[in-house]
Amino acid sequence: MTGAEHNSTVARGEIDPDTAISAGLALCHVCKKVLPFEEQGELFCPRCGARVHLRKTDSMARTWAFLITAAILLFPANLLPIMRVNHFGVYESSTILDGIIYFFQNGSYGIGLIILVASILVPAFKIVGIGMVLLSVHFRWQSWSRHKTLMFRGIEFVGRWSMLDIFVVALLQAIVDFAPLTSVEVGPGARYFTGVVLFTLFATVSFDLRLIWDT
Amino acid sequence: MSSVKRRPLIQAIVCDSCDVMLEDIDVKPGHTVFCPRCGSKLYVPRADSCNRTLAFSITALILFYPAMVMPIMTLYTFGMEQSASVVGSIFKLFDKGYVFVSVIALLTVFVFPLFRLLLLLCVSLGLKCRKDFFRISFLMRCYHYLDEWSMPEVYMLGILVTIIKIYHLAYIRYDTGLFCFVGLILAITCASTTMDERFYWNAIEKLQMGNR
Repeated sequence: MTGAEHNSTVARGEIDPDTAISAGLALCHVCKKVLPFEEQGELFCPRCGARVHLRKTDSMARTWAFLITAAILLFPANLLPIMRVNHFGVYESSTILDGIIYFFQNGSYGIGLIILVASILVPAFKIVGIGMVLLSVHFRWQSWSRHKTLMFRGIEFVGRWSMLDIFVVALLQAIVDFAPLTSVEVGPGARYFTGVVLFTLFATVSFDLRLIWDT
Repeated sequence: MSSVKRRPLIQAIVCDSCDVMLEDIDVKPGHTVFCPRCGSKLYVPRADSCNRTLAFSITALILFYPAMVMPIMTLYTFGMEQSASVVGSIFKLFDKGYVFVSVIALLTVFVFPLFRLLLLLCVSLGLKCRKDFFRISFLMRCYHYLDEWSMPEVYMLGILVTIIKIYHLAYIRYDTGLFCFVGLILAITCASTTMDERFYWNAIEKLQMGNR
């Protein structure tokens, strides 16, 4: 693997490297074109037409707002039943955790682990991880910047997989529909869970990673 | 921050995670460029990007209709049978009053992937014919925005989990839709990995220069 060679006068990991902002340059977020930037006036990228900012607008405030919304929604999402199984007229509600316990009791450890990771660990890890990054930017903690960046990249990558449980329930309620004998119904938890996934995705999109590196 | 304005490098690239300026170097396909400061992936060059993306996006668009609309599986129990398709299952969710959930699911599984494929097809065609007939810079921008929000591969995993949940309860027949859906996921993944965003943007820029 080839690393892009950095300007050799600046050692790796020093506090004051050659940043674009110090050179009066801005990066177009969409097409990654490097453009000269002046404080006054608006700048539109000549290549893709998107509006260019030095940093994403109100990144911290927006990310905090989305993150707190997601954290609040996490409670009803996990406490309310996401699925109700009708078996000969007897309804059995199950939350996300119940579904995972069901798999583990039946010995399907692999699939239980996948759902545990996608539905419980990933949303929790995302909220805690983004919260930590936001706090570190807020209090200007300079250490571990590289790790924080890579963790955020990881959070961005795994975020979408939390929708798994919603899709499973959507498919189950459509295919197991032999009312009145047996059927699967969606529970109210599904709404909140979709909300959690949506707002954590909004939070990752609205956060500007370069804030970690700005002094 | 230094007070002295440094002269920008002639061919500088800037890391979008940590804002560091780097020299633009020529990289061959098969290599990956990482930022030396923050470790993020900067750029993955792809071989023969335009042709391959065009081919895979056409494949995916052919598979799109049967994968989404034809039944993925049929369940037999108590002498009854019930089948479901990807879009059908989401519509059923809508009918049960879960408007928000079903709209999000429809957008992320059906609408956004379809738009992404159509955008890829138009942009690749435009670059191939060296004509800006679709305003490709705008289309390419839309593609960039949709990137985060299309997740048919998550639905694929959802189908697998569903099968594991119900295979011991009843007899399952796997239908055409399932095989088309697997093919669709493969084609979509190939199309988006062979798409070299940097190469595309540079080609679009050349095209714009030519038109002026």
